[in-house]
Amino acid sequence: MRQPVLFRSLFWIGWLIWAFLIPWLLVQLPESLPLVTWTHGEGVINVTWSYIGSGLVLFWAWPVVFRTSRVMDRLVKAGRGIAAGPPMLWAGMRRSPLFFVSWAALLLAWQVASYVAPPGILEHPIVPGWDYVLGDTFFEVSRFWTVRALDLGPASFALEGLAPQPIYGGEGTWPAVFLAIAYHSGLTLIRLLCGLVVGMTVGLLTGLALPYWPAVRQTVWAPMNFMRMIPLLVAVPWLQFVLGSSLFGITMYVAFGVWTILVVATMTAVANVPDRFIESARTLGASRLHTYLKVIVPASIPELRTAMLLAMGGSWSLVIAAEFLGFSAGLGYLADGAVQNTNTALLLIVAIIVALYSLTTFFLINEGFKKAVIWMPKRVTKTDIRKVAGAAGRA
Amino acid sequence: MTTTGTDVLEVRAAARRIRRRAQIAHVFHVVLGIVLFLLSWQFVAAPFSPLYNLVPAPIDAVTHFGENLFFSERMRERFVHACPDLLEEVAFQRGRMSALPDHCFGYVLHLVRTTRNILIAVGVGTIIGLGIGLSSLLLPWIADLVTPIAGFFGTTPIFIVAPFFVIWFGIEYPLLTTIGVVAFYTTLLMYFFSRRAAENIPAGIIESALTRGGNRRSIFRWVYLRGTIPEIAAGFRIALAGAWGLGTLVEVLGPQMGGGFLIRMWSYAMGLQEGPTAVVSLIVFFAVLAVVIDGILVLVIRLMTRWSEAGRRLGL
Repeated sequence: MRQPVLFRSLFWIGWLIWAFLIPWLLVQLPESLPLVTWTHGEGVINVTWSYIGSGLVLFWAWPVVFRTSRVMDRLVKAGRGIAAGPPMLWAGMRRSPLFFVSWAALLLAWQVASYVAPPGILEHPIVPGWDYVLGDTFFEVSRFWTVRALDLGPASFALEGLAPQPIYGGEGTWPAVFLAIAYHSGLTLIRLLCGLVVGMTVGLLTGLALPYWPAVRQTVWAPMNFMRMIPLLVAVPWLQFVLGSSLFGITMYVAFGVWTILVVATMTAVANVPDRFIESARTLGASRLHTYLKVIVPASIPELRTAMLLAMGGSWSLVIAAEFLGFSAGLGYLADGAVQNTNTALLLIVAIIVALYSLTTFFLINEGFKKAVIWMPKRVTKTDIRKVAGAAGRA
Repeated sequence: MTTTGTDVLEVRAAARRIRRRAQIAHVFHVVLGIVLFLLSWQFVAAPFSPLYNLVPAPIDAVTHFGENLFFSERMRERFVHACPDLLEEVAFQRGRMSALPDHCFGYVLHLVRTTRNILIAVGVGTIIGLGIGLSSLLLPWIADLVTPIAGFFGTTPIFIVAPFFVIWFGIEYPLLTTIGVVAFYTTLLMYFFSRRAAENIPAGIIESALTRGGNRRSIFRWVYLRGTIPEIAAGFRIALAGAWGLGTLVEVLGPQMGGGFLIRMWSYAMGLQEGPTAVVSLIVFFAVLAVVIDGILVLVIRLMTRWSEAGRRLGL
C-alpha cells in the first residue's frame, strides 16, 4: 500500500538529515571499539577505510529500519537479477551474436593495430595494446590521487590515511587508483548535474512560457536560433575568463549550452502540437490559459525526448571541455593530462570511463522520460525494417 | 437552391491581405528580435556594466573582425600566418616572416581553410554514414554489426575523441585531424538518422508497396530512399550545425592553422583588452556562418521535399 505524501516526505527529509549527522555520530564513538580506527581533533577527521565502511552501514541503516519490507524486496530482486545475468547473457549471445562479434572484432583490431603501428618517438605508444592500457597505465592513474583533505564547511576530512599519494612521495597502490577515479568522476558528475539541472529547468520553463505570446515567440526566435549556433566548445577560454574557473562558472557554462538546445526544441514542440487538440479544448469551453497549461504543455512533452538526449550529450561535451581547458580536477583534467604527455593509453582509460558514465546518464534520462510520458498511447505503426526487408525478399 | 451574399473574390482578397499582414508582422518581429538582442549585448558591454572589460561590444567585435580580416598586425607580431607553402619559398631570405605577403597574416585564409575542411568532412561523413545506414536496410546484419559500436562512440564527448586524432595525425597531417574528427561524428549521426528515418516510414506504406508487387530492391529504391529524404535532411542540418563547433574545436587543440587556431592564439592574450574582442569576433563569425548556411540548406531542402509535410514545415 502506498504511504501518504507526508510520511514519504518525512522519510526522505529524515534520511537527508541522518546523512549529515553520520560524520558527527561516528566521531562520538569511543576509540576503544574494535573497528574505530579513525581519529579526530581540531575539527579535522582523519578518514580511514573503516570510517567509510561504518558510514555506509549507518547510511543504509535508515531505509532498512524504516522501510524494511521494501528493502528486502529490492534485495531479493537484485539477487534474482544477478542470478539471471549469465543465462540472459547467453540468451543475448544466441539472439544477436553479431553484437558480441563486432565488439570482439573491434577489441582485437585495436590489439593488432598496437603491434602494427610504428612505435614513434614518443614516451608512450601511439596505439597502446590492452596489456599496456590495463597493466602499467591503469596502475599509473594512482598518481592522480592527490587530495590530502576535503573541507566541507562544518567538518574537514583528512584523506591521506586512505592510500599513499605518489605525488607526495608515496607508492602507487590499487586503492589509490580507484580513489583517483572516484574523486575525479565525482567532481565531474557534480558539475554536470548542477549545469544540467539549472539548464533543463530554465530551458523548459522558458521554452514553454515564450510561445504563449505569439509576438514574443516570433521576436525571440531569431536570437535563440543564433545562440543555438554559437560553437560553445571553442568559447570555453573566453567563457572561463568571464565566468571564472569555479563551480558557479562551469554550472553557468553547461546550463547556457543546455538552455539554448532546450528552448528552441521546446518552442518547436509546442508549435507541433496538433491543432485538433487545441480546437477540441476550446470547443469545450476551455480558456486560452487553461488550454495552454492543460493541453498544449502536456502534449508537447513527448516530443522533447530527442532534445533532452541532445542536451545530455551536449552537457557531457561542455563539462569535459571546460575541465580540459581550465580545471585542475575532474575527468576532463585527466584527459588533458593524458594529452600533455601524449599518453593515448591514459586517454583511452578516461574515454572508457566517460563513455560508461555517458551511456548510464543517457539510459537514466531515457527511462525517466519514458515514465514521464507513460500516459502516451504507444505507437504501433513503427516499421520493423528487418521484418519488412525479409517480407520483401520473399515477395 | 441556396445562395450566398458573400463575394468569393472579396474573400480571397481579404485572405491575401491577412496573409500579407502576417508576413510583414513576422519580418517586423524578426528584425525587432535581432535589434533587441544587439541592444542587450551592448547593454552588457556598456561602461557601467560589471562585465565591461570581459564582454566586448558588438560594434567592437565587428570592427576588430573587419580590421584583421585581410591583414592582422597582431598575428604578424605573434608569427601566426596561413602560408606554410610560401614560407618554404622564402626560407633562405632574411627575416622570412616579414617577407610573407600581408594577406598571409589576415584571418581570411584561416577561416576559408576551416570552412573548406568542415564542408569536406561533413560531405565525407554524410556519404559514409548514409552508405552504411541505407545499406543496412537491405542487409540487416550490417546494423547488428555497426549499431552497438556506433552507439558507444556516439555518446563519447568530442573532447575525449578529438585528442586521439590530434595525437595520431597532429601537426603533420592537420587536414586528417580536422576532417577525421568531423567526418567521424557526422558518420555516426547520419547513420542513426538514416536508420531512424527508415523506421519511421509507416508500415502501411511498405505493405501497400508489397501488395502492388514490390520486391526488396524496388521497395528500397522507391519507398525507403525517397521516404527517408525529409528526415535525413533534418539530420544533415543537425550534423552540419554541430560540425562548425567540432571543426574549430579540433583546431583549438592541435593544428597550426584555421579559425580554431586563431581562437587559441587569442585566448593566450585574454588579459589584454583586444583578447576577448578577438575571440568573440571569431566565435560570432562561426555562429553567423552556421546560421547563413543553415538558412540556405533549409531553402534547398524545402525545394527538394515539397511533396512531404515534414519538408514543408521545415525551419518554421
